[in-house]
Amino acid sequence: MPNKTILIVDDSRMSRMLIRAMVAQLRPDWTIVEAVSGDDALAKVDELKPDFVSMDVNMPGIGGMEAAGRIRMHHPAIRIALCTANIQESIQQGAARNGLYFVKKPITEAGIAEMIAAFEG
Amino acid sequence: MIKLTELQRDALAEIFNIGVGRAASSLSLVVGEEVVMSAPTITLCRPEEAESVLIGAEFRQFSMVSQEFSGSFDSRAMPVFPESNALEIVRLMAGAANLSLEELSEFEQEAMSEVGNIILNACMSALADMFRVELEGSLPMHRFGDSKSIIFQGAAVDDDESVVLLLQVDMYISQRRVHGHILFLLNVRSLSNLLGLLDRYLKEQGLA
Repeated sequence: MPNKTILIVDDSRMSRMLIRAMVAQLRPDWTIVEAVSGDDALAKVDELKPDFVSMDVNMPGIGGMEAAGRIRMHHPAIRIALCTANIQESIQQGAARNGLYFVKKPITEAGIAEMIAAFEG
Repeated sequence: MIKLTELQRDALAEIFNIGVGRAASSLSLVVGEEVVMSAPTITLCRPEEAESVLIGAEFRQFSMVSQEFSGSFDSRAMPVFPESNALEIVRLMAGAANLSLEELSEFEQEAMSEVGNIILNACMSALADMFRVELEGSLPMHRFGDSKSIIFQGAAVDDDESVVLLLQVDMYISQRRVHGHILFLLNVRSLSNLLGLLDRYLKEQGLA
C-alpha cells in the first residue's frame, strides 16, 4: 500500500520516536508526520490530509479523544487509532463506539503491527 | 546537582504516564467510576524545593502514603494528596456504605494506603517492566502531615545527597479534580542508577 501518510500525535517525544521507528520499519514507503498536541494534530490534518492517525489520549490542551472526534467529524475517511496508556474499559468502549482502533501503551512492535493491519484492513 | 536531559525527562514522564494509566484503570475498578489521570509533569529538585512546591499548593494539610522500594535503585515513594481531597476519594471508595464522617475518617488511613499502594505499584511496575529489573516494595504507611513533615519525617535526608523526583498529576473522579503529587526521594547514587537504566533503555530502543 504505497504513498500513505500517517500522522503520529503524542506529546512525548520518546513515544513519537518509537512509533515513527516502528512504522518506518514495517512500512518504509509511508510518509510519517508528527504532531505534539491535539491542536497541532487538527492543524496538521487540515494541512496534510493524512490517511491514518495514531493519537495519544492524555495530552495538554485538547485531549486525544476530543481531537479524534473532531477529525472524525470533518474527515470521516481518515482512520484513527488511540495509542494510549489510559487502558480503562470506558476508554476502550468509547474508542469502539466512535470507530477508533485502540492500541495499548507501552508501545510494542506487535501493537504497532496490529494498528497498521487495522488501518489497512 | 544532576540535571535531566530533555530526552530523559520526556522518557521518564512517558514511562510514569504508563504507570499512572495502569493506576487509573485499577482505581476505576475500586471506585466504580471512570478515573482520569493527567500525564505527569516531572521535576528533579532538592527536598527543600519539593517542600516549597507543596507549600505553594492549595492546601496545607496532606494525606500521604510512603513506601520504600529497593532493587536496582532505592527510593522512598510518596503519593501526597490534600487532606480534603483524600476524604473525597475515601467517600467514593466507601461507595454505597453510608458511613458517618467519623467512620470515614477511621477508614481513611486504610483506604489511602490502598490508593497509594495501587498508584505506586502501577508506577514502579511500569518502570520495572520497561527496564527489565525487579523492585521490591515495603508495606505502605499512611500518615497526615504538613509539607515539611511529609518529606523529612523518618527519612535520612542529607541535603547534599538527596534529590526528589517530583511528579505532579491531576486526577479526576466523577468530574471532581484531585490534585496530587508523587514524590520519589532518592540518594544521588540511586538516581544515577535510575538514569543509567533509562539510558540503557533508550539505547536499546535506538533512541539515544
